[in-house]
Amino acid sequence: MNPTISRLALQALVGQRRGLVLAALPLVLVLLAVVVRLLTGEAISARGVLVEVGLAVVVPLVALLAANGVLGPEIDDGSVVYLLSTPVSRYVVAASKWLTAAGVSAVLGAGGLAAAALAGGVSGRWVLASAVAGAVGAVLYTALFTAMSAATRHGMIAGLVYVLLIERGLGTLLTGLRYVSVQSFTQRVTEAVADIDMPVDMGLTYAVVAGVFVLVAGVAFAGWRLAHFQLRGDE
Amino acid sequence: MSERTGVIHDIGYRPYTGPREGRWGIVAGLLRHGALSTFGFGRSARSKVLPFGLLVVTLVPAIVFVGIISFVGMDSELLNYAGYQQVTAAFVSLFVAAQAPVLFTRDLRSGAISLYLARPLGPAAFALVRWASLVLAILAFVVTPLVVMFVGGLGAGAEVRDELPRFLVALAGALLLAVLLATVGATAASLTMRRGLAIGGTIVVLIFGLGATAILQEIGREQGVEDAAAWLGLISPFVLVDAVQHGLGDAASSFETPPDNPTTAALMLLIALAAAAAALLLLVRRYRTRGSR
Repeated sequence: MNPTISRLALQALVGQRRGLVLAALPLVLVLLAVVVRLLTGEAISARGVLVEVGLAVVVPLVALLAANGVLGPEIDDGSVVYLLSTPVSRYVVAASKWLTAAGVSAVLGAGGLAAAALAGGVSGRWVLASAVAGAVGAVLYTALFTAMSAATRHGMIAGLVYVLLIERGLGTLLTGLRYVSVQSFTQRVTEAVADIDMPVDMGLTYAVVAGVFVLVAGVAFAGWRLAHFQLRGDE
Repeated sequence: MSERTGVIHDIGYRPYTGPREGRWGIVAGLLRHGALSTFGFGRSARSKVLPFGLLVVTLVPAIVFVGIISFVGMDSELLNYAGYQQVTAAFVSLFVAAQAPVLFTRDLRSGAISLYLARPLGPAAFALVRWASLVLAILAFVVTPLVVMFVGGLGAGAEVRDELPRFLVALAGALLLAVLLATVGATAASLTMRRGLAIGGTIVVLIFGLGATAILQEIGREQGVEDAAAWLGLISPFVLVDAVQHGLGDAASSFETPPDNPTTAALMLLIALAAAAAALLLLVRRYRTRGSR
């Protein structure tokens, strides 16, 4: 890990009011939980708000914005060349960048989901589950999305296609896709840690092994792509 | 200039003296170029992959419906033109989010915009023409599946008399949707000026807005406040178009609490158009400030 690269990535991510864009989504989720609770006068449906909206939309989008924010703009405007010309291993560069993205989105994801759970008045176990799901999901998603943003200039689109079309669109029709869905791994791990019931059917060992694989392979792939980086034109 | 004495530097360059297109020529050219480059024409092959890939995916349900009608028999319930955009909302949102930055981020960020704006077309006209070309592109994107369904349905034996009114309502809805989506995309892209952020912002507004509206409307229906919940359609363009089609065009709604009263739908339409106009003012101001640097 290289602390300087991590610090610069953090500045790029949250400096100059850009952090507000990232924080907006968790805030809206908390607001949604408050509004739903006020309207119905009882605790929110944990599955409806926390899992279907929080874990399925907010966490991936925050992770996507964070992962693309640490690497994408630099590749876009070409200044990544100066970073790559430093005598730092490209794998260390990728890992440091990922660490920042994962840290920021884990704080926002876990904090946002837990705050929404508290504001929604669900049971203590669900508050714990929200925090765990937000943190685990953010860490895994950022690894995946960092790899995507290193692989293509259209990392944002690739990530959105993965989240919206594969996990949400096709995932509801073809249940077999749960074996390649980061969201399912997160749900299974959360289920085991916080002792609650999530709508996922998967072996815990598989979920853990697959999660670790996504994590390691994602960061390593991003490093490998940076090691084989080619300078290209705009399109 | 007739008493030209120095000939050393006159090497025969001549200015263009032919006919000039004038203002409308520039507008038409910019409009065509913007709408085409949204679909990747005039750009590399790789930038055509995404818009056309999304278009193909968006067409799949329409083709499936037409196929069912041709082989199984006519069931006019299947040709739900007005509800089509709500089925494919994710693809339409992705298209808008991904393609709006093509028109609205590059020239603003690189500063090349001040060169464009030095031409006879001022910042206001330039920004509005850019916006109009995005509207045209989105319109083409959302109308194509409707046309496929309409023509396919007629080919499978549907009556023109039955289908045409519903088709026209859906066309009007598609136009409204294109205007609203283009405004969201253009605002997000011109404010952030970074492709990644612009895509994220547009998706957050469109997809998250749609999800939150659906949840809140469901709660509103459970609590028995349908009339108030109908107004929540203002949060999401997709729900709003559905509400207007239902309230003014008598189309079947895809959401929990559509407004049954035409006045409500008309008011919602007016408010949405006013919001879009305000966003366009913001867009023009953005071009003015960036262009004067």
